[in-house]
Formats: sequence, structure tokens, C-alpha cells
Amino acid sequence: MTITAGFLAGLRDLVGPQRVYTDPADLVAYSYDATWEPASPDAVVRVASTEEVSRLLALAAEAEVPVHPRGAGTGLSGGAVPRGGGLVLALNDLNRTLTVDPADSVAVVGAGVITLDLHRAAEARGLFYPPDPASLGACTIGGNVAENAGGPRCLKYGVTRDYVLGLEVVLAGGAVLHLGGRTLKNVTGYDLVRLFTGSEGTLGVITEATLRLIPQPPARTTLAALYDDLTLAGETVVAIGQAGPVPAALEILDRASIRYAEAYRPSGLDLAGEALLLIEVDGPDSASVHDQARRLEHVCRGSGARQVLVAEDAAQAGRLWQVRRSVSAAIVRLKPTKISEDATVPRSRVPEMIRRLAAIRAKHGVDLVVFGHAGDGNLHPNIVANRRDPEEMARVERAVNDIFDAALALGGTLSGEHGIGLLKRRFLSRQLGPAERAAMRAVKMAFDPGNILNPGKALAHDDVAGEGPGAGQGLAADDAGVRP
Amino acid sequence: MSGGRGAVAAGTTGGTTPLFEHDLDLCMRCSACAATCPTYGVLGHEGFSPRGRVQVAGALLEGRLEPNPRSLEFLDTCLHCEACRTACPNDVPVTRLVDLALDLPDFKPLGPAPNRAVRLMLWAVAHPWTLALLRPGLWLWQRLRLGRLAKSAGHRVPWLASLAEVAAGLPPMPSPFRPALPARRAPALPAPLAPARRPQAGSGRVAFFLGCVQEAVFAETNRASICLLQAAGLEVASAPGQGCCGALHLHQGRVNDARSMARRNIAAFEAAGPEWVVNSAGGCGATLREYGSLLAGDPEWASRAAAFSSRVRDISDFLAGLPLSGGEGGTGRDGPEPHRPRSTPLPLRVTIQDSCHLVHVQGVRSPLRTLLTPVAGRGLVELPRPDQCCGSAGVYNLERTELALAILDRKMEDVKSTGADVVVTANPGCTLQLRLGVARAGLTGQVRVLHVADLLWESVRPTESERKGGGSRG
Ligand SMILES: Cc1cc2nc3c(=O)[nH]c(=O)nc-3n(C[C@H](O)[C@H](O)[C@H](O)COP(=O)(O)OP(=O)(O)OC[C@H]3O[C@@H](n4cnc5c(N)ncnc54)[C@H](O)[C@@H]3O)c2cc1C
Ligand code: SF4
Ligand code: SF4
Repeated sequence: MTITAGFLAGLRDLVGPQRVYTDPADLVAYSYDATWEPASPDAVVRVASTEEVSRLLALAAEAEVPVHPRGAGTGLSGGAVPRGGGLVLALNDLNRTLTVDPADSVAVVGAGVITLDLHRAAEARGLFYPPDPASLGACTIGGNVAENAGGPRCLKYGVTRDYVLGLEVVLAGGAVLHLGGRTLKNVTGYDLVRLFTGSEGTLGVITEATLRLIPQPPARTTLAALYDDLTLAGETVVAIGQAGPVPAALEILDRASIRYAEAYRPSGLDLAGEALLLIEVDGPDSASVHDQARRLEHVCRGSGARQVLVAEDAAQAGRLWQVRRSVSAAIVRLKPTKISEDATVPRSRVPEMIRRLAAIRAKHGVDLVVFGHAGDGNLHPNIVANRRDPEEMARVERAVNDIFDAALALGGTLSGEHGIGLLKRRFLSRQLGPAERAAMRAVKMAFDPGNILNPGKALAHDDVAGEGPGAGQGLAADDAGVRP
Repeated sequence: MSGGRGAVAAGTTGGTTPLFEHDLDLCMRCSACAATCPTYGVLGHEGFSPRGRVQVAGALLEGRLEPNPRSLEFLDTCLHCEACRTACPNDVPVTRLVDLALDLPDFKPLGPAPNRAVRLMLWAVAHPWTLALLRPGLWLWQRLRLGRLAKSAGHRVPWLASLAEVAAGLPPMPSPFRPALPARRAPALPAPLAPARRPQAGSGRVAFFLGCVQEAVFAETNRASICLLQAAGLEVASAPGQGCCGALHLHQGRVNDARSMARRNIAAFEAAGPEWVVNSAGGCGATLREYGSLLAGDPEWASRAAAFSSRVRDISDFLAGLPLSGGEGGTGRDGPEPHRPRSTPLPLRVTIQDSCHLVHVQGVRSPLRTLLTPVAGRGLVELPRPDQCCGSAGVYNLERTELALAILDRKMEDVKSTGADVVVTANPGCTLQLRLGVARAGLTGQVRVLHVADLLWESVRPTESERKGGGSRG
């Protein structure tokens, strides 16, 4: 599917020559996201309005050119990587709309707005947009909606999906849809808002979102519970889920992650142990927060915590969360290539998943560490390796394979929040049967009959091979091994 | 302190391959750096972001991309402001990778001949006698209003125009024909480098690093810094023979020039024998603190350079580190122990533009707040992005005028949003650039741009009446 000179000329007419790039250096800059396997597009185009997106998609559909929507390129499943070539559609300039309306408690946000900017705008009006992916200083609202992003606070407040009231979406032929609205209740027609949320850029291009905001919880505090046994920490997660109160965040760190994080940026706190649970509670006032903390402390001790620390002040809470934030950076000092999985299990199976991960680490001799959003079963098993060592990478691949099997065997899912993208599509048929995949394919065909939007992504590759432009491209590479 | 070009040069001699592979592998492409990068902020294109620069540099170094004008543009527009380094959770040395890639031989024929204004400056600052002529020269420039002439010639000689724009922010130069009468010109400033009236035994001698541009055009800032140190009860030793720190040369890749400047400065300060080497130019300070790595490969100088670097402190960091004078004993410069001089609040609303090499390389952020909080009578207000470069970046504003001005104009919008009367900086280049910004934003007369030492001294120095009465204020 090479792009013709005529098509490029059409693009340049549409958005102006200074926003269409074909230089090899530009193509390198738009060849990757936060995953490891880049692929070069044939051209990059930047758009700044819904109108431009619409006319561009009409042009691309007619010319059958694959289009890879891209927000900030922080995706962890390869969704914005232009495998198979075609056009990268850079949407970060759709950032001019950002209005917060306290009367309706909604925000209307351009798809290119950075998530943190929405957080700040909402806070300035005393409101709160809870979804908080760790990448929030960089990622875009469009990317969050496309991936249905989560984050630590989603345990109590839900994921992106729970805050999307309305969407403006452009379909492959250029049609502009206005879906949902500004009301909490809305059952007029099919709920296409939910369909597009999490569709990974395969059904349409999101240009604007209307998002629900809630009041700021004014008070918060943090607890840290230390364990001599990782599984006990896992069992605490189950106990907290049953006894409550619901924490605003509940994160787990295993011994290796604590050790690396402390070596990297010492917290000044004594955190030696086999496992650490970090728990945040929030509420309307300090009395409520204090009460919740006391009850959670009780649950932790009852489930075998050796020691429970309640942060004395915001500074100490900050130091505790700093430990959690340091883990990612700390473990890549050990080995540079980080493979982040986000297989997720039902909360009650967290202790068993932890046991199986330990077995997988031992069986394949890989450097696997566990840290993540334990409260919602979204453990992040991370493997660090050296991508320049093929033997090690082969072991990593077998370990990842086993991780997916373990999660599915426990009634879980391949991905909790990062999406299927390119990386996980070859595992999709383990979770979804032929009937489910056929239904999804039918949805894809209904919205994008020419298969130009993110062709080959998010669907199992045996479902997409041979279809439309770009479909099935790069599958050989995909099958050859893990793409960390 | 290994971020500078000096470290690169030291590393390249032994072959670049392992160095860059390690650096490259550190980048996990998370893009946590993008929001801090001024060029990405203005241009919104991945190639002008830190992550983009790392990946493009990697592609060039691994031979996946041929050096061409566009990749040169991505790399060459990096301000070397090091904001990305502060933001990066993995401490990826972005600018080191950029410089390594720019050192590829294939870039040489592509690179634009060094800008004439830049070459002129590099040559001038390296020689004491040209610096001696700089002040009178600038006086002539200002008297004859050559700036206007240069600007109007700008369409034919663009480098002259960009020089003129920046020079517009200079303070008025004293006439060389009327020898400066310190008492009349700046009544509160004692003669430079005079010892404190009562130097304390064991109080720690300091020597002051003057800096070339700083001393030539912002001598008043150096005087204010020295006065502050003396007011703190310290003896300020002089270090004759010191010169330019070599930062500009280092960033232009003229490493050997920079090394010889380093040796000259180290020798000068060794002779003075101070405990601390204090300076008031964030960029120079960062370079002084990198002498250790710059001369690491030189057996004769390595340990001397490391010892020197460990003594270097920025004026605001140094002052904020002193204890507040306690109780009635703390009377300004007569205090028994070195102490932080006490400020009187001024009726001003103050904001801070952190100078890149102070905040991102030297890691000095809170001292400016500590010192200025008691000074800002109408409040200390933070800029939305206080630690994001103003576009000055050494000689960047002369080389990449258009982009530098776009970055500057964005910064001025931020300044307006604070409603501040004074923008405080910590580096001469930033002062010049922001003064240009004030003029461009039509804020002349409303907003002053001052070095932190100037404003502090304004709030510390004895008032005229107190001086007459022989008293001093603490
Ligand atoms: C350090 C780090 C931490 C992270 N932490 C979390 C976390 O805690 N929780 C979490 O859920 N994720 C996390 N992520 C993953 C990632 O940040 C999210 O998936 C985010 O939503 C991606 O946004 P983006 O703008 O970068 O999208 P991109 O990476 O550019 O794109 C992601 C996908 O969305 C599509 N897309 C983007 N914009 C649009 C649009 N406007 N319309 C249609 N399709 C579009 C793309 O085609 C692609 O398929 C993390 C990533 C990193 C690097
Ligand atoms: S340089 Fe650092 S912050 Fe930027 S993408 Fe790489 S790892 Fe992330
Ligand atoms: S040094 Fe400054 S300009 Fe260069 S990439 Fe980093 S943040 Fe951007």
C-alpha cells in the first residue's frame, strides 16, 4: 500500500505542506510508542480540527491508505505503531478545547488535551477527574478513551469508561458522529459511546469528549503495611475487598521491587520485608479519613501484616508513594528491557496469581517483579531482560505465555488497561471464542468496511489476516517472539 | 554532574559504542519528558521532543538513519536546558546522545557554518583584553544608538540584528571617559573585593568567580553578590587570573579551549585558597562544577579539578544555606558567625524564572524561594512553568532566533499571568533574554528583570539614612 504522490498532494492541499512529513527523520520520530518494536509509516500528518480529520479520512478511505491514529504515543500495546506502513495521524494538536462547566459537572475536552491539564482545570474549579494513568503528564484524553485507561484510583472511582458521557467521532469515510451528551442518564439509541471507548482507534477517530467530573474529596491519607510473605499481602487485598472501606488506591510491591526502589531512591523509612501494601484513603474530612485508616489498619493486621504505618503528614505519604513511583525506573537499572504485562484476575484470585507468578519466575529463570494495582486484580508482572540477548528473550517469551495462561485459568483477562494493540493479538483467541471474534469482526466491518483504521490491531490476527489494506502485515515478526 | 558536553568528549576518546548503547537502552520511551521540553511545547512535533531526539539520535548512531538536514534540525534545536533530565525517571542523558549523534562525521558538511555572531562572542570571551574593551564598546553602541542601525540592516545581515535585539536588554554602560565614582554611581556598594570589616576566624573564606559576560556587562550583579557575602560576615578573597568558565566553548564542541580555560581558573582559585568558590551565573556555575569530569582524563589535573568543582556554589544556594542570624546578635555584616543577611520586604510582587543550568544541572530550586519569600512584600508567585527555559540557552538565541523568540513569547504570556512586577533570574543570559521578552510583550516600565542578587541586595543594603547614622541593618 504505497502512498502515491497524488495522495500526498491531496494531503498537503488539505492541511498545508508544513504539516505533512515524509522525511526519513520524521518517519523515525513517529515510528514508535512506549513499546519496543517500531515500524516506519510512509507519511505523518498533523491535524488541528474535526473538519480536517473528516476530510482526511474521506481521502484515505478513497485511496485505501491505512491510518494509524496517534495521541501522545505512550501506549503500552503498540496501538499507535504504524506496522504495515501508511499514515500516522497525529492528533496532539486537537488540544484547543478544554472547558469545565461546574453547573453540569462536565468537561468538554479536545482529544489532544494532555490528561494532567484536564486534572488541573477540574481542580481549579473544585472538581475532580479520577482516571489517573501513571502516564498522565504525557498521554492524551483521546488515547485514554481509545484505550479505556485506568490507574490506581480506579479501584474506588472506576476507569475512563465510567466518565465518558459523550463523544465526537469521525468514521473512516469522513462522517462525523455526535454520540451521548452532557447528561448522566441517556438511553436514546445504542450506547455507541461505550463501544468507541476502548476501541483502540480501530472504529473511528475520537476528536472530542464530554467527561463527567465529581467533587474533590478534600482529605486523604496513606497507610503502608509490611508483610513477611507476599501471599499474605495478597490475602489482605481480598479481605479489604470484603470488609471495606474501599481505598482510593491499593498497590502491592513485592520484595524485589521494594529493594530496587529503595536502592534507587531511599525513602528514609524502614521498609524491609517480603511485601508492601500501599493504601490511600480519601473522604470528605479528616475524621472520616482517620476512621477509614483505622479500620483498614485493623484488617491488615488481622491478615498477617507485621507492621502498619499510617503516614503522619503529606510529606511522609509522598515519600511512601515515591517508593511506588521509583520501581519502574529502578528495575531498568538492573536490565534495560522492561516487559510490562497487565494481565488481570478477579480480586479473590490475587493470592493464587501471586503464587503462580512466583512459579513462573522460578521455572523460566526470569527477572520477574510484581508491583501494581492489586486492589482491582490488575497486578503488573514486569520482566526485565536484555533485548540484545536472544536466549534470555526466548525465556521471557515462554514466561509471558505462561502468565497469560495463568490469568485466563483464574478467570481473568489478557489486559486490564493497556489494550491488545499489536502485542497481545496473537493471544486473543485464547480468551475469545470464534463466535465472540466473529461478532467483533462484524462491528469492525460495519464502521470501517475498508479496514483503513489501525488495520490488524486489537483483533486476533487469524481474524484479520488477508483483510483490507495493511492487514496481516508484520505477522511473521509478531509470531517470531515477544515484542517487549 | 555528568550531563555536559565535557563528559561526552571525555567518553568519546575511548570509542562511543558501549556508551551510547547503554544510554539508549535506558530510554523506555515513556515520554514523561515531553511536557517539560520548551521546543516540543512550541512546535508540538515528536522530533523536537526529548524522546524524539533520543530515538532519532539512536537511529543515527545505529546507522538506521542517514544524517540529513531534517535530523540535524531535530538535534540542533535542542536548547541543552536539561529540563528533560530532571523529568526523566531513568535519568537518560538526552543531551549527551544528541551531542554524540551531532559528532557523526556525516553531519559536518551539513552543519551550518557557525553563526558569525556566535563566533565573535566565543572569540571575545576567551580573551581578557577584548573583555576589557567590551564595556566601553557597549557604551559607544548605546550612545550612538547602533542598535537601531543594526536592526535596520537586519534584513541583509541577520546575525547583526539578532545581536542588536539581545543587546537592547543590557543595563546602561558607564562612560569610559568619566572614571566610575563608586560612591556616586552606586552609593550602597563598597569597593569590590574589600575584606569584611571583621572577618571571623574559622568562618570559611570564600572567593568569588566573576564570569566573563557577567563581569563585563552585569558587574553590578557581581558587586551585589559580594556585598551580600560580606553582609553575611564572610571574608571574600580575590582570585586574580580567573577568566571565562568555558561553557559556551564546551557547548559549541570546542572542548580543548574549554579545558585550558578550566586549568587557568583552577590555578587562580588554588592560589586564593578559599573554602568555597561562589558565583552568580547559573550557567557558569554548572560548568565550574563539571570541571572534574571535563579534566578527568588528565592525570595532572584530574584531582585538582575534582577538588575545585566540589567547592563551587551558586550565590543563592550558598546564602540560603547559611543560618538566619539569631536574635539581637545578628546585626548585618557585623554578625559574629556567618549568617544569612536579613531582608526588608519590598513593595513588590515577584516571580522566579529558574535558570536552566542552576535548576536542572546544579539542582538548585528551593534556595531562591527561601531567599525571596521575605523580600516579596506583595507576594511570591510561581510561573506556570518556572523551570522551563526562556529560549536564551547560551548562544541559542543568536543561532535559532525564530524558535528562541517563540519560546520567549510563550514565557512572557506566563509572566503576564502572574501579574509580577519583578522577574528574578539567576544567570546573565536569562536576564538579557527576558528583558528582550519584556520589551516584545510591551511590558517595559511595568516589569523589571533582575538577578536574584540584585533584588536581595536591594532589600538588604543599608538605606542612605542608616548609613549616615553609621548603623547597619540585619
Ligand atoms: C510510564 C507509563 C505508565 C502508564 N500507566 C498507565 C496506567 O496506569 N493505566 C493505563 O491505563 N495505561 C497506562 N499507560 C499506557 C498509556 O499511557 C495509555 O494507554 C494511554 O491512554 C495512551 O494514551 P496516548 O495519548 O499516549 O495514546 P497513543 O499511545 O498515542 O495511542 C494509543 C491507542 O489509542 C489510539 N488513539 C489515540 N488517540 C486516539 C483518538 N483520538 N481517536 C482514536 N484512537 C486514538 C491509537 O491508535 C492507539 O491504538 C502507561 C504508559 C506509560 C508509558
Ligand atoms: S528520555 Fe526518559 S522520560 Fe523521556 S522517554 Fe526516555 S525514559 Fe522516558
Ligand atoms: S535539553 Fe531541553 S530542549 Fe533539549 S530535549 Fe531536553 S528539554 Fe528539550
